[in-house]
Amino acid sequence: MWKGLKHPVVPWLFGVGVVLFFTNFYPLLMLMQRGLSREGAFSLDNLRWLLETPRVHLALRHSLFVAATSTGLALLAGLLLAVVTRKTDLPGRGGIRILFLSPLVIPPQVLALAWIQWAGPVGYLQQGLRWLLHRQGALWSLYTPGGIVLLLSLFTLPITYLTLVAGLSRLQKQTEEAARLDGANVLQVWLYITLPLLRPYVGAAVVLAFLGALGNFGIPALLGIPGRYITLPTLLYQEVINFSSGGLGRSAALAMLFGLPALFFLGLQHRRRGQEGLDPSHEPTERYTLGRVRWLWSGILWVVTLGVIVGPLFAMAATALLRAYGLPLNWSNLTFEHFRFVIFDLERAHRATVHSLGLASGAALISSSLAIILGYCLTRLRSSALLLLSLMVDLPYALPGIIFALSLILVWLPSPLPGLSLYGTLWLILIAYLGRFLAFSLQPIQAAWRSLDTSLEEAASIDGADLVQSFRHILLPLLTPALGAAMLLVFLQAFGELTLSALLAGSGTETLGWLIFGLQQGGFSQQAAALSLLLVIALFVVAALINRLRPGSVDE
Amino acid sequence: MRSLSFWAVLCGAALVQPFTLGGWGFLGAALAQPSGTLRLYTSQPDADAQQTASAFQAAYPGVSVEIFRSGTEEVISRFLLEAEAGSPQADVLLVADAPTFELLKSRNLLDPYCSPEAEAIDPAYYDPDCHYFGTKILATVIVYNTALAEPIDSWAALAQLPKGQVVMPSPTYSGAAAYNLGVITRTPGLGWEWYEALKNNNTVLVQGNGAVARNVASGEQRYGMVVDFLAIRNRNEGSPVEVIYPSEGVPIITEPVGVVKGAANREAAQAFVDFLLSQKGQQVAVDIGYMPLREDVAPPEGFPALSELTLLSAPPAELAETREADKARFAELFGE
Repeated sequence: MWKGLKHPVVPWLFGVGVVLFFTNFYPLLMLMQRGLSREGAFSLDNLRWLLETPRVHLALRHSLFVAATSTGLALLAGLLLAVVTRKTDLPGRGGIRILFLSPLVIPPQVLALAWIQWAGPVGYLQQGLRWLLHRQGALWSLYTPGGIVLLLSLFTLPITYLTLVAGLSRLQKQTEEAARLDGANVLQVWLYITLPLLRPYVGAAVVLAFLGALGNFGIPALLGIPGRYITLPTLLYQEVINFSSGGLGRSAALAMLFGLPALFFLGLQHRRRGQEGLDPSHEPTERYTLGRVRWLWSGILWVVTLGVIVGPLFAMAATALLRAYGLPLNWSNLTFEHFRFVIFDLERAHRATVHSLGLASGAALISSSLAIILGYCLTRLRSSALLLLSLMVDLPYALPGIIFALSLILVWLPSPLPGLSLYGTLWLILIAYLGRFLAFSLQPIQAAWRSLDTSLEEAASIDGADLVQSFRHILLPLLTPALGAAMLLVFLQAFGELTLSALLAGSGTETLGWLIFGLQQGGFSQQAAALSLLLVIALFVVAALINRLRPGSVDE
Repeated sequence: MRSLSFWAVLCGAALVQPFTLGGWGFLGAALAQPSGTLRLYTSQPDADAQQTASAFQAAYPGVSVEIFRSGTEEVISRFLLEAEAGSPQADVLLVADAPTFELLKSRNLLDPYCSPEAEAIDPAYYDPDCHYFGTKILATVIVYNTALAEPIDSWAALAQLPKGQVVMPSPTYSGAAAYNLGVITRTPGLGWEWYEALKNNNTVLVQGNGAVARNVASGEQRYGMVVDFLAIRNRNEGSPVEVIYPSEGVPIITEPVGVVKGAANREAAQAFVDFLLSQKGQQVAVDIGYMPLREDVAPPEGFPALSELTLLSAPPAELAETREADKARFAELFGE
């Protein structure tokens, strides 16, 4: 088991292992212990409950269906979007890209709510179409598996997109050119060259999207509960809030059920090793010129973008601007009062912004650093101990946030280390973010390591460079695109994060997602919409700045 | 030189010692004011909880309030988890309904405190053993969209509307809805048959009262079953909704407050209870838009007087006992 571990990187790995032990492993162990016990004694009752309850089976089937379908959809759309923005001269592609990235910072609950206001039974889109078609009654319903799939794929699309773009940006220009010179057409190049080379990234995208869709609570809660379509996260939530009647044990057992797909995917990924052929030369590849039809394509894409992204954002803006909920949209009913309130009066919004900024950048930096070491070890060393490590990374992400948060409380509340009391502080939220989002940063970075040829390191070491030197001067520059993608992913996920902070944040440790959720839950949906809108605008500004500061960087 | 500093330290210690060990207690008693940090766990909406805390701090300047707020069930989950680990982090709880407090009382997690302010309140609204006290009246009523629907007068009529026009919160998620379930199924003339009729009428379930108020305001459904203050707040802001107090009566929850056993700051927690029940504290609730419990405080605009309401109720201890079974039966009925 320890045979492969005589590498100079091992001390570093050991450090990462210690961190992971506290952030990921120990809490999950505590959780498992809960799942396997009843009133303090060992018992299989909870597992029996899992197997014998028809509601659990139904929820499992529903969840697997919506997660798988939405992953497929998100992957296709992500690939299309990646090709359009990276490889074509389509007019307006920059705007389309930024708009499709926006679900990253909109909390899923808010996204679902915006969609209900846009395309729900009395949404602006349905009303408009009904009027155009002279039809009565609902044209479609969002409260269906289809609606859940659509929203989940929108929600996971930025993840697949960013991962695939990181892959595309590492494609070697010469490979494609050589194939073209040999007479292959664009389709053949894609089928036989590009897509096979992208495989590690496609795999990473599928894993991230599937697990993200599976664990998401906000969307099935808002669409599935009215539609009476039970899913694992909603069932889990029901059990968690039934805490008083031993629900925690059953939730823990359910959480183990969530862990199974993660194990499955992990197994898949480990079978696929040593993918090579993506060249580290960082030259932009060929762009296809679309000719005249580019305007047509641009038009079609923009209509889709308007329908699925701009429309809901517009509905959200309308909610934020209307004097009161349910009023018709006209000038006399509009007001900036809700914006004024969240910007000037809501003191906690200021604190929450500072906290979320700090937590998100901290989590992005630290988790990417850990991911560099971890990714290196996972691709270069061969040891079954590593399997355990990557399992530790993926499980907190595969589990719904509320369960991971509960397990962290189980650990940190009695304080495992004497004199160290993190419960109720921002540090615990940072630990939670690290544990949960490490998988995000690891996927693109691991894929990048996998595609880096070991000959580079070997050459450097023959020339006398030690590990740190060859990393700094040779490997790090080559990793930059993946590193950028990883940090961006983590930052954006953590910035508007809700499910972890729902249990871990409190007065003095507010986060933005938590504040928005609190406002919305307390009936202040218009103020919540105003704050969400400001959040989205902030993202647009950040994305625009990144674009200007780093032309040709990771995300275009 | 060394001996001089030794004496200086000794004198200093002698001066400080009475303070640290409470030796100057007679002085402290004269200034008996709670101080330090008060940790409040509540399910009140964010802004409302903040307003309540600020008013309390204005009355007791020595105390600073730290709030943890979330849905009732999440707050209670977290509290129970902390209590189970042996270190309750809250000093005082302010959450939805009496049965929840009955549960905590039966687990011996509350510290009885007989507030002198309770004299001004109807004994029906607090625990005779002083474990918890109601702080306001949240009645569950019918709300309807004035642009799309006609008023109705009773719960019975709500179950006889055309299909798909009614929305209500799911008791599996909402504490108030779980309470209503317990009360209504025990009310003669309504009972489980009423819920069955609602189910056959394709009544839409949503996660909480906030969503009900939203859906009716936007017209997605025409009628809803909702906590009155949310609907009245929407109406006062200009949304096209109106509130009906049904003829059979209304179930009410009282958002009780209770001191946690082993609270780190017991004095401040008791002062908080006193404050919420006092005339001043009740006026704060009114200013936020809640119906007060005290008869000597006028309800806010748009609410009926407490004496005009017919109340539907059931013994809290009994409700606490059957709550899980009721919820399970409901989930089965609605195929949730």
